[in-house]
Amino acid sequence: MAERLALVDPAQAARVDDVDSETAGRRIVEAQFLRLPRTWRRADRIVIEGSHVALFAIGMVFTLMITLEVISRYVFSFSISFVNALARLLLVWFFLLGAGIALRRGAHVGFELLLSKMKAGTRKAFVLVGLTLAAIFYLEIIWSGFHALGPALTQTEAGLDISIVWVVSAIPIGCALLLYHTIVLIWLETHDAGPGGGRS
Amino acid sequence: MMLAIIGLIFFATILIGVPIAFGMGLAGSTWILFFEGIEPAILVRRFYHALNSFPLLAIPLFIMLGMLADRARLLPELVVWLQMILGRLRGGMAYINVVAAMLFAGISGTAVSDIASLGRTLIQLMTRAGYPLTYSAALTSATSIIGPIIPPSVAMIIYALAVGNVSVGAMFAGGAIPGILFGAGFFVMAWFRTRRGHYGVTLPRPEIRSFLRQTLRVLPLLILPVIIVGGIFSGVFTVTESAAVGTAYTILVGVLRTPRLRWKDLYDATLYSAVISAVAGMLLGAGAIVSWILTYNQVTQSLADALLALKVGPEVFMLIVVAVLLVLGMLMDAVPIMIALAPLLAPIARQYGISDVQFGLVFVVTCLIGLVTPPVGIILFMTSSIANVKLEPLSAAVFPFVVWMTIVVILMVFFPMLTLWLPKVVGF
Repeated sequence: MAERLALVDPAQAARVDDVDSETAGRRIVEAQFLRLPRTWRRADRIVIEGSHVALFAIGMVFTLMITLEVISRYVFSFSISFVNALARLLLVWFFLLGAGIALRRGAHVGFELLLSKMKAGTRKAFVLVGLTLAAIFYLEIIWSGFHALGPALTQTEAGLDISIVWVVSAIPIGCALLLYHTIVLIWLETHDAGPGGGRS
Repeated sequence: MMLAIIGLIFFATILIGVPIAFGMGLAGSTWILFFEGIEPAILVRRFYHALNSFPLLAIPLFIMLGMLADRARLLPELVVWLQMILGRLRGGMAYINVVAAMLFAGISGTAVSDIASLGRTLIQLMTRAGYPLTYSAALTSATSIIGPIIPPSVAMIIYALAVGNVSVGAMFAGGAIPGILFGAGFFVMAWFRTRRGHYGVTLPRPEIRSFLRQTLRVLPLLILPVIIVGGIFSGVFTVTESAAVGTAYTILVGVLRTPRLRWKDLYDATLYSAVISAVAGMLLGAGAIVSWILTYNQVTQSLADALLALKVGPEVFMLIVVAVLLVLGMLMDAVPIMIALAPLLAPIARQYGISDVQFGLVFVVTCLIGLVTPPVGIILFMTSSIANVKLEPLSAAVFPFVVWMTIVVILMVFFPMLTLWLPKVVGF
């Protein structure tokens, strides 16, 4: 005869010590704040919180805009022509701003097996080399961005009737932010013997 | 020679822990700028074309939706409701694990959001019913893989965009039967394990009034897959529109019910979605640069010629691909494998006469198996962390489920109807 149990309410069970991925990610960045010098900490908070607010606004706008377009199409038989183009523009900014925050939280996908087997000193050296190589990539994209902006000025985003510079500029600006976050991570790595919070 | 240099830079960077997107981007952009001397603007143009895509919007929206459903307490309500239905069976808690994953799969498109939202609760339910912790964690890891197989699926969107010319809707439809096969196999395995180990408990029969009340509480969640999947298959919505409407619907339901969804929940869900989708976005952008180089230098065609010269049948070709992906899946995450290899192999599969949808699904599902195979499996890591189980016993316990998943993939290779019948029925 099987034992009988009372019904479990998972909502109650999970509430005790549940920390979801967003909260955990936010804690990593909070810990990084505390290790930065005071003046830099303030500037860093502005960059992070500014990115958060921009991402929230972008995410809400494209969600509501696409939903309203669907409602408008089916209920009022009227399609809002600019929604598709504006949503795509916002998406590019969403990805590029999000990439910087993901870097700080260590969310980018990487191969950690070899690093985890290394001694602390060797690991630190490799991490610094890795961060520097990633920084070279961001610089290459920023450089490419400067070359792309000129021709982009003469092109128009179909559906919005604005210059595609509004979209294209997201890529060098996003990479500039990635470069800034990499500098923060390099500073944290070189100023504390503990494990870097920004590694993926 | 060109491929060797790009490959060398790529592997050297990822071996020392550089995120794969940036390692791939560094290899590609260094080649373009310093070896080929091509106009630098091409880098940003490739990035722009890869990311400026309406179907790609479905990725952040589905991720947001999954977290909002959790924050609106819809998922815990679902688990309570399933306990009322399946709790009277002896292995009920294990069956709930499978069924909850299959139902949640109709809402969320990633395994990570499945394990993050439901994992801890499902493991707790099973251990309370007497199942060993390691087995409970292993079953939870395996069932989370159903999330990105039953539509909607973020992995399929990424594959379709990386390859191009593949219908996301057709892939969604084609994923339904393999997803159900995964679930059915896990269900049978849980039944055997319950009998053999004498595990499991039964819950008292719920009062009809409380069952009806709970059904009403969970009804908004049960409607959600109908809106999303039904909307796509009936042609009412595109994939992106279904994700946006599903997200707006979840926000509305969350605001109207008690406890209410707060601004903080919306804020958190958007940020979480931004972080996770930006990782995929960077991989797609960097992948587009490398992909352009390979096409520009006709590497894809040379590889196709070499593979076609092997004179093997399409099934053997797919089995070779499956074997390679299973090995790579042990070392890398699914998304980078898809972005690096899918644009190379999909055109070759086409030359073998294999349907884009069948090859795409075999590719995606095989890559997803890699999420639960050691030494590098993100779902294994997450489950090990939330259940506080060591990685080695967890990997051993998940092995029988990996065997079943591999059998399903082999069936998909030899029986194309498993992946092509439903897309045909729903008109893709």
